Amino acid sequence: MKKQALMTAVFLGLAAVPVLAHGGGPHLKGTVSAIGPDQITVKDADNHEWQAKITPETRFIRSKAVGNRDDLHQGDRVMVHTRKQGVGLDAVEVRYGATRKRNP
Amino acid sequence: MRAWAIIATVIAAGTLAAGGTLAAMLLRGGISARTEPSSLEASLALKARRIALRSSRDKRNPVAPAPEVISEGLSHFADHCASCHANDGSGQTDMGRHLCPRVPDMRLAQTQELTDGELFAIIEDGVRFTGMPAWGDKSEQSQLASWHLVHFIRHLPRLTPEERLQMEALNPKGPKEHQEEQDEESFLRGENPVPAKGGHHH
Repeated sequence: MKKQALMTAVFLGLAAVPVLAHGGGPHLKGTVSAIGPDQITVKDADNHEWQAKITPETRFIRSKAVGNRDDLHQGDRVMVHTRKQGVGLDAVEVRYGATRKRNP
Repeated sequence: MRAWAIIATVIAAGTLAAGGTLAAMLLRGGISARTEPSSLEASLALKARRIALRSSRDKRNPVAPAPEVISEGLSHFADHCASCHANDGSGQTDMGRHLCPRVPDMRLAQTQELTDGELFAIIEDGVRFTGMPAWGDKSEQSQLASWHLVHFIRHLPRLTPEERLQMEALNPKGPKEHQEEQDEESFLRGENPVPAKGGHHH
């Protein structure tokens, strides 16, 4: 029973929840599956991948302090606030923790 | 007598033209705030504002610029102004993007070229037919706060990322936003797993 609860917690912890922000794009909550100079890909619990474009205006915030793109690696937990731009999404803010918490 | 007749005709024609323009504007867009004002409407409004602010134009800021003054203005702006103007003064907020006229990007010339006196008058007395309220109560304390804000508005084009984060901590938030923030932090720390599906709105 405990094991089941733990597995559920891990599964839920892996989840990326794309939720609609009022007037903007969805907020992507999950883990980084890829990050490049121009794009970040976030994977949710269903292994669905969400892409957001990194622009010169994208802000990287590391636990309430100014961070940068190089802090992020595959597997890191992130919350990406996006804005709809044409058919795609622009990353407005990429938030992540001070100590990297990676999912297996 | 003939001169009076000409003047009366010109005034009547001007009134008719202005009325016609206003009617055309209303017919085109109704009273909806969805469409942006036309360039003619915006240009007329800016000219009218310029004329209305004439008496304040030469008023000088009695407060000397200093880091603590900028800091005061920053806190005040984050608490009172940022919900429409955004912390960085870009106007890119839900309210700023949907007000009519749209909230201006205060980092640009249209705002930065206003004199200190004009900025002060706008903060203190507001601007009719826009979303800008009159914040001042004519007290010494309110006027001092407005002059601090004038210094901060001048600082906006050079706002640092650190200052922006500092402002985010000062922005007014409701219980729901606090909860969302806590949930987000917990998630990023690897605690409190979030639901696989579901969501919240901002």
